[in-house]
Amino acid sequence: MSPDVWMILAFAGLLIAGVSVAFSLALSGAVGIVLGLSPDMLATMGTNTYNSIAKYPLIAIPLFILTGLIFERSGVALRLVRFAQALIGPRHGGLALVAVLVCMIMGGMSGSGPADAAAVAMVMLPSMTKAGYPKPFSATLIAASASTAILIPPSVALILYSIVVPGVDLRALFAAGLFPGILAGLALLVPAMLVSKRYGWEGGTPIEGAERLSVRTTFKQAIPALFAPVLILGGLRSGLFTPTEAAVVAVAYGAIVGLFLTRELSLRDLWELLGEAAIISGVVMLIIALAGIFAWAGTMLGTFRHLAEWIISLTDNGVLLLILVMLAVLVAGMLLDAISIYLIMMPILIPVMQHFEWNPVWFGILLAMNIAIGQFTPPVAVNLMVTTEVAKIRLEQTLGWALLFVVAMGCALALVAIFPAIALWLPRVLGYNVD
Amino acid sequence: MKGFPDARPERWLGALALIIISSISLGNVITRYLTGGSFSFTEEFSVFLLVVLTFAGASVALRRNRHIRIGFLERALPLKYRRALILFQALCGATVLGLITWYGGKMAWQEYQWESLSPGLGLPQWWYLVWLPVLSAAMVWRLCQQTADRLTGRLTDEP
Repeated sequence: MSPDVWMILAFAGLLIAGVSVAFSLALSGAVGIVLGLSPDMLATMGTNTYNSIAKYPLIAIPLFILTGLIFERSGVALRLVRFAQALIGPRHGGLALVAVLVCMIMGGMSGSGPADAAAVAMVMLPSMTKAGYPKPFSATLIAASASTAILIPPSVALILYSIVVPGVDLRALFAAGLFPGILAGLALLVPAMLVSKRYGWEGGTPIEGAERLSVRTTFKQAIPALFAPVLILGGLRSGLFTPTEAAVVAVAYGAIVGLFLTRELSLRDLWELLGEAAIISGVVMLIIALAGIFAWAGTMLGTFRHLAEWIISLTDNGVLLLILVMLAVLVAGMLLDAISIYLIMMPILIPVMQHFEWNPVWFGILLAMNIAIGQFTPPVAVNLMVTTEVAKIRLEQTLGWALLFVVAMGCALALVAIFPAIALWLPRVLGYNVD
Repeated sequence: MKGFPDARPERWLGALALIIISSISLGNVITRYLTGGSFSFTEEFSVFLLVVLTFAGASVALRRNRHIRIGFLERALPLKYRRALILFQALCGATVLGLITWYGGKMAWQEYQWESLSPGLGLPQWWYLVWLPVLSAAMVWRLCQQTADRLTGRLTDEP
Protein backbone atom coordinates (compact mmCIF):
# COMPACT_ATOMS: atom_id res chain seq x y z
CA MET A 1 0.00 0.00 0.00
CA SER A 2 1.16 3.51 -0.71
CA PRO A 3 2.04 5.91 2.10
CA ASP A 4 -1.07 7.96 1.13
CA VAL A 5 -3.35 5.15 2.04
CA TRP A 6 -1.48 4.39 5.23
CA MET A 7 -1.77 7.99 6.31
CA ILE A 8 -5.50 8.12 5.74
CA LEU A 9 -6.10 4.72 7.32
CA ALA A 10 -4.01 5.76 10.33
CA PHE A 11 -6.06 8.92 10.69
CA ALA A 12 -9.38 7.07 10.50
CA GLY A 13 -8.17 4.36 12.88
CA LEU A 14 -6.89 6.83 15.46
CA LEU A 15 -10.13 8.80 15.34
CA ILE A 16 -12.20 5.67 15.91
CA ALA A 17 -9.92 4.64 18.76
CA GLY A 18 -10.89 7.89 20.47
CA VAL A 19 -7.55 9.68 20.15
CA SER A 20 -8.26 13.42 20.10
CA VAL A 21 -8.64 14.96 16.65
CA ALA A 22 -5.54 17.10 17.06
CA PHE A 23 -3.27 14.19 18.00
CA SER A 24 -4.79 11.96 15.30
CA LEU A 25 -3.92 14.56 12.68
CA ALA A 26 -0.34 14.95 13.87
CA LEU A 27 0.33 11.26 14.31
CA SER A 28 -1.10 10.21 10.95
CA GLY A 29 0.88 13.04 9.37
CA ALA A 30 3.98 11.61 11.04
CA VAL A 31 3.11 8.13 9.72
CA GLY A 32 2.86 9.57 6.21
CA ILE A 33 6.21 11.35 6.58
CA VAL A 34 8.06 8.30 7.91
CA LEU A 35 6.67 5.90 5.29
CA GLY A 36 6.58 8.16 2.27
CA LEU A 37 9.33 10.70 2.75
CA SER A 38 12.14 10.32 5.23
CA PRO A 39 12.22 10.22 9.03
CA ASP A 40 14.52 13.27 8.99
CA MET A 41 11.61 15.27 7.70
CA LEU A 42 9.83 14.78 11.00
CA ALA A 43 11.69 17.97 11.91
CA THR A 44 8.66 19.71 10.42
CA MET A 45 6.85 18.81 13.64
CA GLY A 46 8.72 21.65 15.31
CA THR A 47 8.58 24.37 12.67
CA ASN A 48 5.19 23.50 11.23
CA THR A 49 3.46 23.36 14.59
CA TYR A 50 4.73 26.81 15.46
CA ASN A 51 4.14 28.39 12.06
CA SER A 52 0.63 27.01 11.62
CA ILE A 53 -0.63 29.13 14.48
CA ALA A 54 1.81 32.04 14.39
CA LYS A 55 -0.48 33.94 12.01
CA TYR A 56 -1.90 37.35 12.74
CA PRO A 57 -5.49 36.79 11.47
CA LEU A 58 -5.86 33.84 13.86
CA ILE A 59 -5.72 36.24 16.82
CA ALA A 60 -9.39 37.00 16.13
CA ILE A 61 -10.32 33.45 17.18
CA PRO A 62 -9.51 33.62 20.92
CA LEU A 63 -10.86 37.17 21.01
CA PHE A 64 -14.25 36.19 19.57
CA ILE A 65 -14.37 33.18 21.90
CA LEU A 66 -13.75 35.55 24.81
CA THR A 67 -16.46 37.93 23.53
CA GLY A 68 -18.98 35.10 23.47
CA LEU A 69 -18.11 34.05 27.02
CA ILE A 70 -18.29 37.61 28.34
CA PHE A 71 -21.70 38.25 26.78
CA GLU A 72 -22.94 34.89 28.00
CA ARG A 73 -21.91 35.65 31.58
CA SER A 74 -22.96 39.29 31.69
CA GLY A 75 -26.68 38.53 31.58
CA VAL A 76 -27.16 39.66 28.02
CA ALA A 77 -29.15 36.59 26.97
CA LEU A 78 -31.73 37.09 29.72
CA ARG A 79 -32.29 40.71 28.75
CA LEU A 80 -32.70 39.83 25.10
CA VAL A 81 -35.18 37.10 25.97
CA ARG A 82 -37.28 39.44 28.09
CA PHE A 83 -37.36 42.07 25.38
CA ALA A 84 -38.32 39.56 22.68
CA GLN A 85 -40.99 38.10 24.97
CA ALA A 86 -42.46 41.53 25.61
CA LEU A 87 -42.57 42.17 21.87
CA ILE A 88 -44.13 38.89 20.90
CA GLY A 89 -46.42 38.26 23.84
CA PRO A 90 -47.99 34.94 24.79
CA ARG A 91 -49.28 33.03 21.76
CA HIS A 92 -48.91 29.59 20.20
CA GLY A 93 -45.24 29.08 19.53
CA GLY A 94 -44.36 32.50 20.94
CA LEU A 95 -41.50 31.26 23.09
CA ALA A 96 -40.20 29.13 20.23
CA LEU A 97 -39.99 32.30 18.18
CA VAL A 98 -38.21 34.09 21.04
CA ALA A 99 -35.69 31.26 21.35
CA VAL A 100 -34.81 31.31 17.65
CA LEU A 101 -34.52 35.10 17.49
CA VAL A 102 -32.35 35.36 20.59
CA CYS A 103 -30.06 32.58 19.36
CA MET A 104 -29.57 34.48 16.12
CA ILE A 105 -28.78 37.78 17.85
CA MET A 106 -26.38 36.00 20.20
CA GLY A 107 -24.78 34.51 17.07
CA GLY A 108 -24.08 38.09 16.01
CA MET A 109 -21.86 38.61 19.04
CA SER A 110 -20.01 35.37 19.44
CA GLY A 111 -18.24 33.17 17.00
CA SER A 112 -19.43 29.68 17.83
CA GLY A 113 -22.58 27.73 18.57
CA PRO A 114 -22.09 25.85 21.85
CA ALA A 115 -21.63 28.99 23.98
CA ASP A 116 -24.85 30.49 22.58
CA ALA A 117 -26.72 27.24 22.99
CA ALA A 118 -25.72 27.07 26.65
CA ALA A 119 -26.62 30.70 27.38
CA VAL A 120 -30.02 30.57 25.70
CA ALA A 121 -30.91 27.12 27.03
CA MET A 122 -30.25 28.19 30.61
CA VAL A 123 -32.53 31.19 30.27
CA MET A 124 -35.27 29.75 28.06
CA LEU A 125 -35.68 26.10 29.00
CA PRO A 126 -37.43 26.63 32.35
CA SER A 127 -39.99 29.06 30.93
CA MET A 128 -40.56 26.94 27.82
CA THR A 129 -41.13 23.86 29.94
CA LYS A 130 -43.56 25.79 32.14
CA ALA A 131 -45.47 26.95 29.06
CA GLY A 132 -45.99 23.35 27.98
CA TYR A 133 -43.25 22.67 25.46
CA PRO A 134 -41.71 19.23 25.92
CA LYS A 135 -38.07 19.40 26.94
CA PRO A 136 -36.67 17.39 24.00
CA PHE A 137 -38.36 19.79 21.59
CA SER A 138 -37.04 22.93 23.31
CA ALA A 139 -33.53 21.53 23.69
CA THR A 140 -33.37 20.56 20.02
CA LEU A 141 -34.81 23.85 18.81
CA ILE A 142 -32.28 25.87 20.81
CA ALA A 143 -29.40 23.66 19.67
CA ALA A 144 -30.47 24.03 16.05
CA SER A 145 -30.95 27.80 16.23
CA ALA A 146 -27.62 28.27 17.98
CA SER A 147 -25.92 26.47 15.12
CA THR A 148 -26.66 29.50 12.94
CA ALA A 149 -23.89 31.24 14.90
CA ILE A 150 -21.29 29.82 12.54
CA LEU A 151 -23.10 31.52 9.64
CA ILE A 152 -24.03 34.81 11.26
CA PRO A 153 -20.92 36.95 11.55
CA PRO A 154 -18.60 37.00 13.41
CA SER A 155 -17.84 33.34 12.89
CA VAL A 156 -14.74 31.47 13.99
CA ALA A 157 -15.28 28.85 11.28
CA LEU A 158 -15.40 31.47 8.52
CA ILE A 159 -12.25 33.16 9.85
CA LEU A 160 -10.50 29.84 9.42
CA TYR A 161 -11.98 29.30 5.95
CA SER A 162 -10.57 32.64 4.83
CA ILE A 163 -7.13 31.57 6.03
CA VAL A 164 -7.23 28.09 4.48
CA VAL A 165 -8.60 29.17 1.10
CA PRO A 166 -6.27 31.65 -0.60
CA GLY A 167 -7.70 34.88 -1.95
CA VAL A 168 -10.97 34.94 -0.05
CA ASP A 169 -11.82 38.20 1.70
CA LEU A 170 -13.01 37.57 5.25
CA ARG A 171 -15.31 40.60 5.16
CA ALA A 172 -17.00 39.24 2.04
CA LEU A 173 -17.46 35.89 3.80
CA PHE A 174 -18.94 37.55 6.87
CA ALA A 175 -21.36 39.55 4.73
CA ALA A 176 -22.24 36.46 2.71
CA GLY A 177 -23.08 34.49 5.84
CA LEU A 178 -25.69 36.93 7.14
CA PHE A 179 -28.68 36.15 4.91
CA PRO A 180 -28.16 32.38 4.76
CA GLY A 181 -27.93 32.49 8.56
CA ILE A 182 -31.20 34.38 8.85
CA LEU A 183 -32.78 32.08 6.25
CA ALA A 184 -31.68 29.05 8.26
CA GLY A 185 -33.24 30.55 11.38
CA LEU A 186 -36.51 31.20 9.56
CA ALA A 187 -36.47 27.69 8.14
CA LEU A 188 -36.32 26.34 11.70
CA LEU A 189 -39.11 28.62 12.77
CA VAL A 190 -41.65 27.30 10.27
CA PRO A 191 -41.85 23.71 11.58
CA ALA A 192 -41.46 24.96 15.17
CA MET A 193 -44.51 27.21 14.87
CA LEU A 194 -46.57 24.59 13.02
CA VAL A 195 -45.80 21.94 15.62
CA SER A 196 -46.54 24.32 18.52
CA LYS A 197 -49.88 25.19 16.99
CA ARG A 198 -50.72 21.57 16.23
CA TYR A 199 -50.13 20.47 19.81
CA GLY A 200 -51.39 23.70 21.34
CA TRP A 201 -48.26 24.43 23.34
CA GLU A 202 -48.34 27.78 25.08
CA GLY A 203 -52.01 28.78 24.77
CA GLY A 204 -53.32 32.24 24.13
CA THR A 205 -54.10 32.77 27.81
CA PRO A 206 -51.20 33.99 29.97
CA ILE A 207 -49.85 31.55 32.55
CA GLU A 208 -50.89 32.13 36.17
CA GLY A 209 -48.44 34.33 37.99
CA ALA A 210 -46.42 35.25 34.91
CA GLU A 211 -45.33 38.87 35.02
CA ARG A 212 -46.40 41.20 32.28
CA LEU A 213 -43.39 42.64 30.53
CA SER A 214 -43.53 46.12 29.13
CA VAL A 215 -41.86 46.64 25.78
CA ARG A 216 -40.41 49.95 26.90
CA THR A 217 -38.53 48.89 30.01
CA THR A 218 -37.30 45.62 28.55
CA PHE A 219 -36.11 47.44 25.45
CA LYS A 220 -34.09 49.84 27.60
CA GLN A 221 -32.47 46.90 29.35
CA ALA A 222 -31.77 45.15 26.06
CA ILE A 223 -30.14 48.14 24.33
CA PRO A 224 -26.55 47.29 25.37
CA ALA A 225 -27.06 43.76 24.08
CA LEU A 226 -28.70 44.83 20.84
CA PHE A 227 -25.93 47.34 20.21
CA ALA A 228 -23.20 44.67 20.23
CA PRO A 229 -23.92 43.14 16.81
CA VAL A 230 -24.38 46.66 15.44
CA LEU A 231 -20.95 47.63 16.75
CA ILE A 232 -19.24 44.51 15.40
CA LEU A 233 -20.93 44.39 11.99
CA GLY A 234 -21.08 48.15 11.55
CA GLY A 235 -17.42 48.52 12.46
CA LEU A 236 -16.47 45.87 9.94
CA ARG A 237 -18.69 47.32 7.24
CA SER A 238 -17.52 50.89 7.59
CA GLY A 239 -13.91 49.78 7.43
CA LEU A 240 -13.45 51.21 10.90
CA PHE A 241 -11.92 47.96 12.11
CA THR A 242 -10.30 44.88 10.68
CA PRO A 243 -11.87 41.62 11.92
CA THR A 244 -9.21 41.27 14.62
CA GLU A 245 -9.83 44.81 15.80
CA ALA A 246 -13.59 44.29 15.72
CA ALA A 247 -13.02 41.30 17.97
CA VAL A 248 -11.00 43.24 20.52
CA VAL A 249 -13.44 46.15 20.48
CA ALA A 250 -16.24 43.66 21.13
CA VAL A 251 -14.29 42.23 24.07
CA ALA A 252 -13.81 45.69 25.54
CA TYR A 253 -17.46 46.59 24.96
CA GLY A 254 -18.69 43.34 26.52
CA ALA A 255 -16.46 43.83 29.55
CA ILE A 256 -17.76 47.38 30.04
CA VAL A 257 -21.38 46.23 29.70
CA GLY A 258 -20.88 43.37 32.15
CA LEU A 259 -18.88 45.34 34.68
CA PHE A 260 -20.76 48.64 34.69
CA LEU A 261 -24.15 48.31 32.98
CA THR A 262 -25.59 44.93 33.91
CA ARG A 263 -23.13 44.57 36.80
CA GLU A 264 -23.36 40.81 36.64
CA LEU A 265 -19.66 40.53 36.01
CA SER A 266 -16.94 41.15 38.59
CA LEU A 267 -13.24 41.54 37.88
CA ARG A 268 -12.75 38.12 39.39
CA ASP A 269 -15.29 36.62 36.97
CA LEU A 270 -13.49 38.35 34.14
CA TRP A 271 -10.22 36.70 35.12
CA GLU A 272 -11.94 33.33 35.21
CA LEU A 273 -13.49 33.95 31.82
CA LEU A 274 -10.06 34.78 30.43
CA GLY A 275 -8.83 31.41 31.69
CA GLU A 276 -11.87 29.65 30.25
CA ALA A 277 -11.39 31.41 26.89
CA ALA A 278 -7.73 30.35 26.91
CA ILE A 279 -8.76 26.71 27.42
CA ILE A 280 -11.41 26.72 24.67
CA SER A 281 -8.98 28.51 22.35
CA GLY A 282 -6.35 25.93 23.28
CA VAL A 283 -8.65 23.14 22.12
CA VAL A 284 -9.45 24.88 18.83
CA MET A 285 -5.98 26.20 18.10
CA LEU A 286 -4.19 22.95 18.92
CA ILE A 287 -6.18 21.33 16.11
CA ILE A 288 -5.07 24.15 13.79
CA ALA A 289 -1.46 23.75 14.92
CA LEU A 290 -1.30 20.00 14.46
CA ALA A 291 -3.40 19.93 11.28
CA GLY A 292 -0.46 21.82 9.81
CA ILE A 293 1.62 18.64 10.01
CA PHE A 294 -1.11 16.57 8.37
CA ALA A 295 -1.56 19.16 5.62
CA TRP A 296 2.18 19.37 5.00
CA ALA A 297 2.54 15.59 4.75
CA GLY A 298 -0.54 15.32 2.54
CA THR A 299 0.75 17.99 0.19
CA MET A 300 4.30 16.58 0.02
CA LEU A 301 3.01 13.07 -0.66
CA GLY A 302 0.47 14.32 -3.16
CA THR A 303 -2.33 12.68 -1.21
CA PHE A 304 -4.66 15.64 -1.48
CA ARG A 305 -4.02 15.97 -5.20
CA HIS A 306 -4.78 12.27 -5.75
CA LEU A 307 -7.97 12.50 -3.74
CA ALA A 308 -9.08 15.64 -5.56
CA GLU A 309 -8.39 14.01 -8.94
CA TRP A 310 -10.33 10.97 -7.86
CA ILE A 311 -13.30 13.09 -6.80
CA ILE A 312 -13.25 15.06 -10.06
CA SER A 313 -13.08 11.80 -12.05
CA LEU A 314 -16.26 10.56 -10.38
CA THR A 315 -18.51 12.58 -12.61
CA ASP A 316 -18.47 15.49 -15.03
CA ASN A 317 -21.76 16.66 -13.65
CA GLY A 318 -20.99 19.61 -11.37
CA VAL A 319 -24.39 19.61 -9.70
CA LEU A 320 -24.24 15.93 -8.85
CA LEU A 321 -20.76 16.32 -7.47
CA LEU A 322 -21.80 19.31 -5.39
CA ILE A 323 -24.55 17.19 -3.86
CA LEU A 324 -22.06 14.40 -3.14
CA VAL A 325 -19.63 16.84 -1.53
CA MET A 326 -22.43 18.32 0.58
CA LEU A 327 -23.49 14.86 1.77
CA ALA A 328 -19.90 13.99 2.65
CA VAL A 329 -19.48 17.21 4.63
CA LEU A 330 -22.81 16.62 6.35
CA VAL A 331 -21.66 13.18 7.50
CA ALA A 332 -18.33 14.67 8.59
CA GLY A 333 -20.26 17.37 10.44
CA MET A 334 -22.08 14.72 12.44
CA LEU A 335 -18.75 13.39 13.69
CA LEU A 336 -16.39 16.35 13.86
CA ASP A 337 -16.34 20.06 14.64
CA ALA A 338 -16.31 22.85 12.07
CA ILE A 339 -12.62 23.73 12.50
CA SER A 340 -11.38 20.19 11.89
CA ILE A 341 -13.63 19.75 8.87
CA TYR A 342 -12.36 22.89 7.18
CA LEU A 343 -8.74 21.95 7.90
CA ILE A 344 -9.07 18.35 6.72
CA MET A 345 -11.40 18.76 3.77
CA MET A 346 -10.39 22.07 2.22
CA PRO A 347 -6.98 20.99 0.85
CA ILE A 348 -8.87 18.26 -1.03
CA LEU A 349 -11.84 20.40 -2.00
CA ILE A 350 -9.99 23.51 -3.24
CA PRO A 351 -8.87 21.82 -6.51
CA VAL A 352 -12.38 20.41 -6.96
CA MET A 353 -13.86 23.85 -6.38
CA GLN A 354 -11.50 25.39 -8.92
CA HIS A 355 -12.16 22.65 -11.47
CA PHE A 356 -15.90 23.28 -11.45
CA GLU A 357 -15.43 27.04 -11.02
CA TRP A 358 -17.58 27.23 -7.94
CA ASN A 359 -17.54 30.62 -6.26
CA PRO A 360 -15.28 30.23 -3.19
CA VAL A 361 -17.36 32.55 -1.01
CA TRP A 362 -20.61 30.79 -1.87
CA PHE A 363 -18.99 27.38 -1.46
CA GLY A 364 -17.64 28.36 1.97
CA ILE A 365 -21.11 29.38 3.08
CA LEU A 366 -22.63 26.13 1.80
CA LEU A 367 -20.02 24.16 3.75
CA ALA A 368 -20.73 26.24 6.85
CA MET A 369 -24.46 25.49 6.53
CA ASN A 370 -23.72 21.80 6.27
CA ILE A 371 -21.48 21.93 9.29
CA ALA A 372 -24.17 23.89 11.15
CA ILE A 373 -26.61 21.06 10.50
CA GLY A 374 -24.02 18.61 11.76
CA GLN A 375 -23.78 20.52 15.02
CA PHE A 376 -27.23 19.35 16.10
CA THR A 377 -27.30 15.96 14.41
CA PRO A 378 -26.56 12.98 16.66
CA PRO A 379 -24.34 11.05 17.32
CA VAL A 380 -21.77 13.82 17.87
CA ALA A 381 -23.79 17.02 18.14
CA VAL A 382 -21.87 19.64 20.07
CA ASN A 383 -24.79 22.05 20.47
CA LEU A 384 -27.30 19.36 21.32
CA MET A 385 -24.99 17.92 23.95
CA VAL A 386 -24.91 21.28 25.67
CA THR A 387 -28.68 21.84 25.62
CA THR A 388 -29.62 18.28 26.61
CA GLU A 389 -27.25 18.63 29.53
CA VAL A 390 -29.01 21.80 30.64
CA ALA A 391 -32.41 20.14 30.14
CA LYS A 392 -31.22 16.96 31.91
CA ILE A 393 -32.53 14.66 29.21
CA ARG A 394 -30.78 11.99 27.14
CA LEU A 395 -29.52 12.74 23.67
CA GLU A 396 -31.57 9.88 22.17
CA GLN A 397 -34.85 11.52 23.23
CA THR A 398 -34.23 14.39 20.84
CA LEU A 399 -33.72 12.23 17.75
CA GLY A 400 -37.14 12.78 16.15
CA TRP A 401 -37.09 16.54 16.60
CA ALA A 402 -33.50 16.72 15.42
CA LEU A 403 -34.54 15.00 12.17
CA LEU A 404 -37.35 17.49 11.65
CA PHE A 405 -34.99 20.44 12.02
CA VAL A 406 -32.34 18.79 9.85
CA VAL A 407 -34.89 18.60 7.05
CA ALA A 408 -35.91 22.22 7.64
CA MET A 409 -32.35 23.52 7.55
CA GLY A 410 -31.59 21.22 4.62
CA CYS A 411 -34.26 23.12 2.68
CA ALA A 412 -32.55 26.42 3.53
CA LEU A 413 -29.27 24.92 2.35
CA ALA A 414 -30.86 23.79 -0.92
CA LEU A 415 -32.21 27.30 -1.47
CA VAL A 416 -28.77 28.87 -1.04
CA ALA A 417 -27.30 26.22 -3.34
CA ILE A 418 -29.87 26.91 -6.04
CA PHE A 419 -29.88 30.69 -5.62
CA PRO A 420 -26.27 31.74 -4.87
CA ALA A 421 -27.46 35.35 -4.76
CA ILE A 422 -28.88 34.76 -1.27
CA ALA A 423 -25.29 34.60 -0.08
CA LEU A 424 -23.54 36.75 -2.65
CA TRP A 425 -25.92 39.68 -2.95
CA LEU A 426 -24.92 41.45 0.26
CA PRO A 427 -21.12 41.29 -0.19
CA ARG A 428 -21.56 42.53 -3.78
CA VAL A 429 -23.71 45.45 -2.66
CA LEU A 430 -21.17 46.30 0.03
CA GLY A 431 -18.49 46.33 -2.63
CA TYR A 432 -16.37 43.37 -1.51
CA ASN A 433 -14.63 41.19 -4.01
CA VAL A 434 -16.47 37.88 -4.20
CA ASP A 435 -15.18 36.38 -7.44
CA MET B 1 -15.65 24.76 35.34
CA LYS B 2 -15.97 23.41 38.80
CA GLY B 3 -15.40 19.79 39.59
CA PHE B 4 -12.71 19.48 36.94
CA PRO B 5 -9.06 19.03 37.80
CA ASP B 6 -7.12 22.20 37.25
CA ALA B 7 -3.73 23.03 35.80
CA ARG B 8 -3.32 26.38 37.42
CA PRO B 9 0.06 27.60 36.10
CA GLU B 10 -0.99 27.00 32.51
CA ARG B 11 -4.43 28.48 33.06
CA TRP B 12 -2.85 31.63 34.48
CA LEU B 13 -0.31 31.79 31.70
CA GLY B 14 -3.05 31.44 29.08
CA ALA B 15 -5.24 34.10 30.70
CA LEU B 16 -2.26 36.43 30.99
CA ALA B 17 -1.33 35.91 27.33
CA LEU B 18 -4.91 36.69 26.33
CA ILE B 19 -4.96 39.90 28.41
CA ILE B 20 -1.74 41.09 26.81
CA ILE B 21 -2.97 40.22 23.31
CA SER B 22 -6.20 42.13 23.96
CA SER B 23 -4.37 45.14 25.39
CA ILE B 24 -1.92 45.34 22.51
CA SER B 25 -4.69 45.05 19.92
CA LEU B 26 -6.88 47.58 21.70
CA GLY B 27 -3.94 49.92 22.11
CA ASN B 28 -3.29 49.56 18.41
CA VAL B 29 -6.84 50.55 17.49
CA ILE B 30 -6.81 53.56 19.82
CA THR B 31 -3.42 54.92 18.78
CA ARG B 32 -4.32 54.51 15.14
CA TYR B 33 -7.28 56.82 15.61
CA LEU B 34 -5.40 59.31 17.73
CA THR B 35 -2.17 59.51 15.78
CA GLY B 36 -2.92 57.85 12.47
CA GLY B 37 0.12 55.59 12.80
CA SER B 38 0.19 52.00 14.01
CA PHE B 39 2.85 50.01 15.75
CA SER B 40 2.70 47.00 13.51
CA PHE B 41 6.03 45.69 14.83
CA THR B 42 4.06 44.48 17.86
CA GLU B 43 2.38 41.95 15.56
CA GLU B 44 5.21 39.52 16.04
CA PHE B 45 4.80 39.71 19.82
CA SER B 46 1.02 39.17 19.62
CA VAL B 47 1.54 36.21 17.35
CA PHE B 48 4.08 34.74 19.76
CA LEU B 49 1.61 35.18 22.63
CA LEU B 50 -0.97 33.36 20.52
CA VAL B 51 1.33 30.34 20.46
CA VAL B 52 1.77 30.53 24.23
CA LEU B 53 -2.00 30.91 24.69
CA THR B 54 -2.67 27.90 22.47
CA PHE B 55 -0.32 25.51 24.20
CA ALA B 56 -1.07 26.74 27.71
CA GLY B 57 -4.82 26.43 27.08
CA ALA B 58 -4.40 23.07 25.38
CA SER B 59 -2.45 21.85 28.40
CA VAL B 60 -5.30 22.65 30.79
CA ALA B 61 -7.78 21.08 28.39
CA LEU B 62 -5.60 17.97 28.21
CA ARG B 63 -5.57 17.72 32.00
CA ARG B 64 -9.37 17.85 31.96
CA ASN B 65 -9.68 15.53 28.95
CA ARG B 66 -11.65 18.14 27.05
CA HIS B 67 -10.01 17.85 23.65
CA ILE B 68 -12.42 17.07 20.83
CA ARG B 69 -12.52 13.38 20.04
CA ILE B 70 -14.90 10.59 19.14
CA GLY B 71 -15.87 8.45 22.09
CA PHE B 72 -18.10 5.69 20.70
CA LEU B 73 -15.70 2.82 20.82
CA GLU B 74 -14.66 3.66 24.33
CA ARG B 75 -18.23 3.69 25.62
CA ALA B 76 -19.06 0.50 23.77
CA LEU B 77 -16.15 -1.50 25.21
CA PRO B 78 -16.22 -3.42 28.49
CA LEU B 79 -14.05 -2.03 31.28
CA LYS B 80 -11.08 -4.31 30.70
CA TYR B 81 -10.63 -3.31 27.06
CA ARG B 82 -11.45 0.29 27.80
CA ARG B 83 -8.37 0.50 29.99
CA ALA B 84 -6.21 -0.82 27.19
CA LEU B 85 -7.76 1.77 24.89
CA ILE B 86 -7.07 4.59 27.35
CA LEU B 87 -3.44 3.50 27.50
CA PHE B 88 -3.27 3.39 23.71
CA GLN B 89 -4.70 6.92 23.49
CA ALA B 90 -2.16 8.13 26.02
CA LEU B 91 0.64 6.49 24.07
CA CYS B 92 -0.44 8.24 20.87
CA GLY B 93 -0.64 11.60 22.62
CA ALA B 94 2.75 11.09 24.24
CA THR B 95 4.33 10.21 20.88
CA VAL B 96 3.04 13.38 19.25
CA LEU B 97 3.99 15.61 22.17
CA GLY B 98 7.37 13.89 22.49
CA LEU B 99 8.15 14.56 18.83
CA ILE B 100 7.05 18.18 19.13
CA THR B 101 9.14 18.68 22.26
CA TRP B 102 12.20 17.11 20.64
CA TYR B 103 12.04 18.87 17.29
CA GLY B 104 10.77 22.11 18.82
CA GLY B 105 13.70 22.02 21.24
CA LYS B 106 16.09 21.36 18.39
CA MET B 107 14.67 24.31 16.48
CA ALA B 108 15.06 26.66 19.45
CA TRP B 109 18.60 25.38 20.07
CA GLN B 110 19.61 26.06 16.46
CA GLU B 111 18.26 29.59 16.63
CA TYR B 112 20.18 30.07 19.87
CA GLN B 113 23.42 28.94 18.20
CA TRP B 114 22.82 31.04 15.11
CA GLU B 115 21.97 33.99 17.36
CA SER B 116 19.23 35.03 14.93
CA LEU B 117 17.14 38.06 15.81
CA SER B 118 13.43 38.53 15.23
CA PRO B 119 12.52 40.76 12.26
CA GLY B 120 10.16 43.13 14.09
CA LEU B 121 11.50 43.83 17.54
CA GLY B 122 15.06 42.58 17.13
CA LEU B 123 14.80 40.19 20.04
CA PRO B 124 16.66 36.87 20.04
CA GLN B 125 14.45 34.48 18.09
CA TRP B 126 14.93 31.63 20.57
CA TRP B 127 13.14 33.61 23.29
CA TYR B 128 10.00 33.03 21.27
CA LEU B 129 10.67 29.52 20.02
CA VAL B 130 11.70 27.97 23.31
CA TRP B 131 8.14 28.15 24.63
CA LEU B 132 6.95 25.48 22.23
CA PRO B 133 9.08 22.62 23.62
CA VAL B 134 8.65 23.84 27.20
CA LEU B 135 4.86 23.89 26.98
CA SER B 136 4.58 20.66 25.02
CA ALA B 137 6.75 19.00 27.68
CA ALA B 138 4.30 20.35 30.27
CA MET B 139 1.53 18.77 28.22
CA VAL B 140 3.24 15.38 28.44
CA TRP B 141 3.11 15.69 32.21
CA ARG B 142 -0.57 16.70 32.15
CA LEU B 143 -1.27 13.74 29.87
CA CYS B 144 0.27 11.39 32.44
CA GLN B 145 -1.86 12.89 35.22
CA GLN B 146 -4.98 12.69 33.09
CA THR B 147 -4.35 9.08 32.10
CA ALA B 148 -3.76 8.07 35.72
CA ASP B 149 -7.04 9.74 36.69
CA ARG B 150 -8.96 8.06 33.90
CA LEU B 151 -7.55 4.63 34.71
CA THR B 152 -8.56 4.93 38.35
CA GLY B 153 -11.97 6.31 37.38
CA ARG B 154 -11.44 9.72 38.96
CA LEU B 155 -12.04 11.48 35.67
CA THR B 156 -15.19 10.44 33.83
CA ASP B 157 -14.61 10.11 30.17
CA GLU B 158 -17.35 11.73 28.20
CA PRO B 159 -18.54 15.28 28.74
